[in-house]
Amino acid sequence: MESLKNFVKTLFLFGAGLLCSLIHAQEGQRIQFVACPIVRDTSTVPCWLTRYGDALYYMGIQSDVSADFQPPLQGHQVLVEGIVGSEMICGGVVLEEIKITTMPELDGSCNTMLPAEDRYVIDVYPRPPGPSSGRLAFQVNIDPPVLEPSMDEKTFTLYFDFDKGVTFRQPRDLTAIMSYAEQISATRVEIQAYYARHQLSNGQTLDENPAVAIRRANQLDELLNGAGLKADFTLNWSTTPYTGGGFEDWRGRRAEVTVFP
Amino acid sequence: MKAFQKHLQSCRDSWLVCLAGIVSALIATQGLSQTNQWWSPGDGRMLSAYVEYINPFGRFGIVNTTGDIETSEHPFFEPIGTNGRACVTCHQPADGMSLSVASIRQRWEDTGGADPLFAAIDGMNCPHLPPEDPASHSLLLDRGLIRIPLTWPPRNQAGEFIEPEFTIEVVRDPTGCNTHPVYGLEGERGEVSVYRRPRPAANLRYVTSALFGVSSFVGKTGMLASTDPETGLPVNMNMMADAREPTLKTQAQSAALGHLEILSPLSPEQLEQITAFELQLYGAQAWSVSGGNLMEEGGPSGLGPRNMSTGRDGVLGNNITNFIFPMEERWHDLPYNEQAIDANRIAFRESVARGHDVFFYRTFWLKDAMHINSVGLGNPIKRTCATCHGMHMTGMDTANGWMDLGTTNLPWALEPPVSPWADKKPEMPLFKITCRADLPPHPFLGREIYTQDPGRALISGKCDDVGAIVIQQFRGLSARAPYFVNGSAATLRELVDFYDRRFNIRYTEKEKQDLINFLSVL
Ligand code: HEC
Ligand code: HEC
Repeated sequence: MESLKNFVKTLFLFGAGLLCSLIHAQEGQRIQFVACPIVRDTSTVPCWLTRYGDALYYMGIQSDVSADFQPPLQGHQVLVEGIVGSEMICGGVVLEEIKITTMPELDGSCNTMLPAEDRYVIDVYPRPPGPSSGRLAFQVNIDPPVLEPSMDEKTFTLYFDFDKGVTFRQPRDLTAIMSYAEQISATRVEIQAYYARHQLSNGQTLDENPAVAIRRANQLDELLNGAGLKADFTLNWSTTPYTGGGFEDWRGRRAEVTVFP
Repeated sequence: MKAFQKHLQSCRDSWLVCLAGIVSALIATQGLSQTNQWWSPGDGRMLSAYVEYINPFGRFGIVNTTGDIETSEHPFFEPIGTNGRACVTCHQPADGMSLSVASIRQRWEDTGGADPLFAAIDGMNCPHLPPEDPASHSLLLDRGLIRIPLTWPPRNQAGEFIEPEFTIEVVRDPTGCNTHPVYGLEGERGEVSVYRRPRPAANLRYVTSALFGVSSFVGKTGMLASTDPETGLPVNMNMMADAREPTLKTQAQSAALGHLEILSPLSPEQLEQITAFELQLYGAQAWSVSGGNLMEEGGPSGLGPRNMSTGRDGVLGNNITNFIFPMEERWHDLPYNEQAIDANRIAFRESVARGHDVFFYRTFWLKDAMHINSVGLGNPIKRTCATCHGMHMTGMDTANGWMDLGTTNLPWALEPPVSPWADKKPEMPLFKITCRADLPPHPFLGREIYTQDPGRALISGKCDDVGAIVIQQFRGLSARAPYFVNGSAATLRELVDFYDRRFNIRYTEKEKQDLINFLSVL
């Protein structure tokens, strides 16, 4: 009887192990998944983790609005794409070239907050949890790109969050478009919007709502017009999803605005 | 006699304060302090270049940088409308250029409810109620709230209707206004009534500054910023609880038509006079009962009305180079003095200095606050009070300063418990907001939101803006209780307690008291 129990147990463990090793990603492997974001406090700034398969991954730290990595929202799942690294930070395997976006629907189960532990130390924190030292953490990011003196047509690419139209992410790009249009006295503007298909590592695909491409195009049109860009506007949106087949799928969540002299 | 000793002390600090102290002491002995502090429309008094008014924590000081103000025939002070009110009715110098509930009650008593402040249009829960009954004015008398009727659906600046992302349903209507056949949501006028505190009409150079974060697009949402109708330039959208007024001029025009019930719009000269007055007027707590003179030579540069009048606007202060309310460590480790009165003062000043540090450095988890967690910082974020209140000298947010702190949205908005044993009835209206199913939900509240005041969303029509309120300046807090847009915090203690609950901060008693002392000297 006992041996039977043990046998079942072994079988079970073997099965579970098999499953885990299936989704245990190797170093250097590009992975994409949807999971709950986890926040771990530290004696300085908190760090952001997420669990996929049998591994805990490190996404980044809390900083400020100028940082490349902007933490996700708890109360939601997060869509993550990145390459499994070799380093460990804050108890998680670092994901290189990480791109994340918060899934819009609410998920109250995504609320794990871990306490600070002495063994997890973040000692490079460009922006402390309190007041800054008088500037944004990452100076490089705050000014709109310097525009080359030019009279050519130019395409600006704007990236969006999953299923979202214009948000706080766009003002910088919109401002850059406005100043370029002014510089070349634009007569024509072409907007091409897309929606994305994400090829997840577990074999599933995750599509944005096709209507979001239309919304992106329309919003950009309204905003640029509303801000005073007087030109002929052409709007296009794709009716099939853009996908990189698991490689930089986030690029599908974009719109291109081309400004013609 | 004790009071007199205090004045002697203030005489040592500064002759001006001394003079003001003696004058107010004289007024107080004649029992006139309350009524004499009140400005009635058309008083025709002079508003001196510098003047102080008594409040429970000390005195509020006003600086007119252009010198004495002749108020007779001045459109801010004259009853230019049809209901006998002036701007000054709700923006009282003694109340930090806002209006405290204590003054409102005193006015009710002194005039038997006849003061034009209690005008039917918005000094009542709803214009159709019987004016002599105090219950018809309960929101004004209990919480200091003015009725604000706003058209629904909203229109953009060009006057075109905006298609809202949500529908509004009236769930509870204790004032009877939102279901009324004329004033209600479905009524003749198609209006929503919300109830809000008057905001200080001083230090407006800071409030309207275009020197930080102003662009054609709202930084927090990417939507179009409002523009100044005269110049076509984008504005900072930091005025009124919902940023519906782009400039001081449009604000004054609407206030005259709405609050004063003026028959024809203000003339360009009147508008000029009002805004010029507003932009030269500065105010802050000038003297503290326990902390003494807040304007003394060599004192903290973040305190007092004079520093307010010379400070830089449009400067981000959430950093250790500018600071929000600079204290320069002046009060951090004061030399201990054996004399009892000085010892108390020193202890209080050190408490203020600690309170500043609680405000600036004490971290907690900011969570589920729309337009702060949602703008790239993440949810939750370990930061401080100063994160939301980042602007130098005022503690306002940067441009487009609206956020949902939870003061009007459930589950955080103050609501009396509902139970067979509870005798307190809800006073505030309650609306149910249902957001469109084909758009992403509000990131923290989903697609069904209950709120006492949808705030910015009543203007933008955006689901994400429900309950988002523009942060008001921190000045003159001692003079203008209660706090928050809906007057839901009766005292500074209640304000601090709200935060303690909202963000699970777990302040110690000492931290709370230090924070209160700090807020009381602003
Ligand atoms: C019946 C009371 C009342 C009267 C009279 C009144 N106001 Fe106000 N005032 C308010 C209220 C209430 C608010 C806040 C409204 C809101 O947030 O939606 C306000 C807000 C303001 C603000 C915005 C301050 C800020 O920081 O956002 C200014 C400026 C102002 N009023 C000026 C005036 C002027 C000028 C007049 C006269 C033409 C006037 N008010 C008359 C009640 C009044
Ligand atoms: C998540 C952002 C946020 C944080 C953090 C925050 N506040 Fe506020 N604060 C607001 C908003 C929004 C308002 C305006 C709300 C309203 O009027 O209903 C406000 C208003 C205030 C006011 C003005 C009240 C009035 O009626 O004039 C004071 C004082 C204040 N906060 C103090 C604090 C203190 C002290 C802390 C730290 C414990 C703090 N705040 C933390 C967002 C924040």
